[in-house]
Amino acid sequence: MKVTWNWLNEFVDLDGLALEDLEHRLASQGLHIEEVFCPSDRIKEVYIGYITRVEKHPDADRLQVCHVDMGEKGTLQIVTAAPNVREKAFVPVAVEGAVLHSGMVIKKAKLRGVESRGMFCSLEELGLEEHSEGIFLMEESPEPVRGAPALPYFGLDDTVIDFEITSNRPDCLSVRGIAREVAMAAGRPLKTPPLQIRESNTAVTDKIGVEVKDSAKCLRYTARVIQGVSVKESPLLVRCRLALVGLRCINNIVDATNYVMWEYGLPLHAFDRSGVSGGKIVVRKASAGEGFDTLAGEHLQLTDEDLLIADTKRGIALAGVIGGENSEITPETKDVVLEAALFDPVSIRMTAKRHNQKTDSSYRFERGMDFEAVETSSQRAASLIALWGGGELCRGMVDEKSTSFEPRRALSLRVSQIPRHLGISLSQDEVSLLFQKLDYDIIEEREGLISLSVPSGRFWDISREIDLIEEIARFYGYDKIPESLPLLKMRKGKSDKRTLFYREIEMILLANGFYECYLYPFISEELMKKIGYEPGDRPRVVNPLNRDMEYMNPEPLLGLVKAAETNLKRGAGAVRLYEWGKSYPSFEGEAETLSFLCAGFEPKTVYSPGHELGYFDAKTIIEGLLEKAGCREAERRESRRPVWAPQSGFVYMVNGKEALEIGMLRKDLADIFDIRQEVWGGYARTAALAERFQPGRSFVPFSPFPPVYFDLAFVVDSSLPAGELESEIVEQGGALLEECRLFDRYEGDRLPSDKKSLAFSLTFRSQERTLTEKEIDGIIQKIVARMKKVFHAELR
Amino acid sequence: MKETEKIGPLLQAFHKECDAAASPGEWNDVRVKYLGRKSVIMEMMKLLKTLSPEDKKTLGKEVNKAKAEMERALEEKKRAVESCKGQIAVDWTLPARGVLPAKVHPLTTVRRQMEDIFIRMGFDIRQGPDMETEWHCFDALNIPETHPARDEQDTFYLNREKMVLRTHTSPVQIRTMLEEKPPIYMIAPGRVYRNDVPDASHSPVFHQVEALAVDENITFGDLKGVIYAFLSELFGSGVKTRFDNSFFPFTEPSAEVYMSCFCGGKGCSVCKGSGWLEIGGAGMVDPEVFRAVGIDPEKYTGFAFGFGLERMAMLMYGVPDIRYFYENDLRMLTTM
Ligand SMILES: [Zn+2]
Repeated sequence: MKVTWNWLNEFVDLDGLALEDLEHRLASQGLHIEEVFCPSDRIKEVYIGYITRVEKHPDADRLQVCHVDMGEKGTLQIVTAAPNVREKAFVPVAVEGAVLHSGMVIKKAKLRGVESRGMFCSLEELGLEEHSEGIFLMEESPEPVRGAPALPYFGLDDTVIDFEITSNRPDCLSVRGIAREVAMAAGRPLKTPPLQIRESNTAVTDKIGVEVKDSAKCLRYTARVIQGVSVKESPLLVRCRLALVGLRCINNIVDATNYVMWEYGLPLHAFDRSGVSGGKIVVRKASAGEGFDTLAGEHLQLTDEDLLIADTKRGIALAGVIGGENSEITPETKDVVLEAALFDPVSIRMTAKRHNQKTDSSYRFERGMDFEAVETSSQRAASLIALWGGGELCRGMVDEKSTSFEPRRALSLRVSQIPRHLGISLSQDEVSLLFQKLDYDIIEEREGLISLSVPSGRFWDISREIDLIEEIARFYGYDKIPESLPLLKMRKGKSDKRTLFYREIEMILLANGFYECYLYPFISEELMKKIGYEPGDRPRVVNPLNRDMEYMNPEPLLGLVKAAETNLKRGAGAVRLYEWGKSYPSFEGEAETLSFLCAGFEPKTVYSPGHELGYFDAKTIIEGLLEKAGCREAERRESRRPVWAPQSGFVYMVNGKEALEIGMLRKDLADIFDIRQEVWGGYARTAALAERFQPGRSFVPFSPFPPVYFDLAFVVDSSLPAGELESEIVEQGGALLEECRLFDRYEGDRLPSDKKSLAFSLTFRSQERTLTEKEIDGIIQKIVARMKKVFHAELR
Repeated sequence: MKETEKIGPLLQAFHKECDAAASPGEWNDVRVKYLGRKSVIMEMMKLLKTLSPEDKKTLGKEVNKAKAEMERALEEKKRAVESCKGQIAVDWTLPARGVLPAKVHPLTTVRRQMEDIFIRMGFDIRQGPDMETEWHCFDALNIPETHPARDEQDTFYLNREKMVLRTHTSPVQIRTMLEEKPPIYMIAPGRVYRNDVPDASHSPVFHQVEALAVDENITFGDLKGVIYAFLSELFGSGVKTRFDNSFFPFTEPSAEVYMSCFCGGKGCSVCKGSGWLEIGGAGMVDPEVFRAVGIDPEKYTGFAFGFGLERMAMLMYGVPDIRYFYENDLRMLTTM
């Protein structure tokens, strides 16, 4: 909400005050300044000049050479292309070094060989119009002072202040409302600009009738009539002021309604009287399917929930939202009907939403307008229309009010509630005085209880005792309320097993060089389909920012792949990434998910030859997670998840649930991200794993006796998984076998091509005694025999 | 006898030099000097042959004793001055063999710092779903469909009736108050969504950390006190707070919370010259919210406040653009 300093000054005496003095105090009251703008900071060196002579340019038909009297500043020769330039005209002149609204700097120039030392300005160059035709010619009386600064002539010697208004403060969507806050902040009284109203003898009731058929949605409807107006441009200073606060000028009639809306908040509407059939306004619900053409040229199909301003035949305005084409003010309009009304906020909001007609008017009405401002605004606008458009104002105002609506809400405040909510104690007298300063009427006071009535402008915001308490806090000053700390009663503590588990898992990831990422949990329909998911009724954003952010991602791994792509493209050799996120396979299936991946070439170092990241790097994480969750024996099955390349995916079952997964990203999916390397990754369903996690640890007795070591190398079929051999050895080794570790694997020239050698280092130890070679020999022979029988394994 | 008198001072000198030896080279010098072929001890050994049996016995005993003492001392010293194998070949500037662990994301670091402070103050961590019902996200928080505030959150709507991506973590308040009885002291850190076009300070996905306290006798003063306690723990006790009136449908009175800028109030580019940094919203729980979850507003009061995680991280770590957090460039993740 933009207001200007001078406009504000018409409602509260700002003499001797500076904006900087008020800014902090206003902010603490809830009025934040978003921006302050002084036209004079932007537009510089523009003065009033008088064109004494205009000559044709010797070499250009479209150009004219003007001699300009700049008073004390001497005379200037200026070449212009403006078609409306003429002798004996006062004009704003941007002299050498001047800066215009657009930022353009004026320099001495030669136009087709003729020197030009400045430029005549239009309203566009002064930032007062979007597009101007020709230069601005000033009024000749009173005669402007030649050489004087031009900005004051346009009311540009002002400051524009843009306030941020929260949705609970519709009263501050007006100059007067802001002035009230300023008055409070500065301790100054409010002023009311004089309302000169001169009415004719024609009674308004002879010219217009009003019938309100729905007083629940229309709380008050007033009409005035101004006859014989001429529709034209508004006075210059009005147009400039409206432009400064960001309103577009239409004509003097519409500008008057906008001007008053800005002053008092209430949106007004002006109808062409000739468009009101039967001379009667009927405020009624639309009938279902009733058509209505807005003045913006849209055709709407109304419902019986919409409130319509109609005449005896048809709708002429969608109440509080937008006017109709059929009754719009046009240059031919002679008689004007001025509407000032109050509509139910919810009804206006729903209508504007239903028909997608969010207008300045609906914005205000849906926040709630001031019942008492209806009359003031009507008077003010009617007098301005008569003043700017000529014409005569009919006597009186048609005023239809709801009988059940009480604009001054009565509330009571228990003084004891103030310390309960705010932690400060105020005396009843202080509280009562504060509300009087804020224009509340005290109805009654008893010990500890104040009954009061709320100003009509705050009706929609202040409806409960707690709202009164906020008013107290607001004006007492939040900053003056002393800090304290709650007296916390000790409660039963809950241990947070999950957080502990997460940190354990995180150690594995970090120790193995995996960096944490934060991802957007979205995926495009295209990618979903490429993976092999039918979008169906999977969770989808119906108003996404873009196509890539349409679906909730059932495969967070793809988000990591995107991060991998970014890094690989930016020159990273190898990437190891993880995310604590969620997967969203369905509305019911939102589940915390840890995803991780690795890809690329781990570069060679002094100590290692480097390697392509792959399955075994990903498996490190899986094994670590199984270990931490205490489920090393989890059953491993093939995974059918469609992101994995065929036969590469495995899922680990914990407590019957799919807890962990590992696999290689399908090559065609990697291609989408331009990743040529293998991408290995996995998931952990953290909830399933955390269930098994035991933060406690238990002591396992260890033997005081020395170990016996024995190495065994077997030659087996190349296709035999080492793990199968190992578990058989462990089985056969029995209780005395403490550890069995695969330490070498060989395939090559020294063996048949379909064979490989696997070498294990075995550690035997007894809990009770020192083992003898003989005991071990027996076990070794048993193992060797068993391996030969089961796997046809030969000792090497 | 003259020779025996020499042994005491000799040993003394030996021990002094032996103790001072600090490298294998120096150690060897001492060994050669005192036990080498031309050493005093060796000279004496040679001399023994020329002596009478009695003198030979006396001196021999002393010399052997001294020699044994030197040998023992040298042997002990030998291990002390021993350096690494192939000491000349080692290039001390080569990298270490081990690899440094990776790092968590900066947002995680900030979140944990914040969580830890609140946990120490007695708050519990609570969580809720990202895909939320409109009732939990809006209606229960006194943001009915009929109020303009409903439009101010730039909501992402889902393809199921009355479901949205939560626009704030406040629905976790609602869920907690429905499940637990006061006193409630909880924080809800989590991911939230707004239909904002990304720019340097906006991201359609971001995080909030929200706190809620519901108890008998909770006041606005407590709200201010807890926020100060939190901020001073995070930023140091020199931090100042400022509370301006504001509007949130779920709190009354409501406040915008500011913290003094790191420039000390002089004004800088971070605070745009104001000396203050806007860091979040706060207020006393609105009685309508209590009514929606069945808590008696005549018995209990409460406060709630919320901070943006990204905003905090940007201030704390000097990250200039919120989008960096979601780009996951390893150059940022590894260096910061
Ligand atoms: Zn600063």
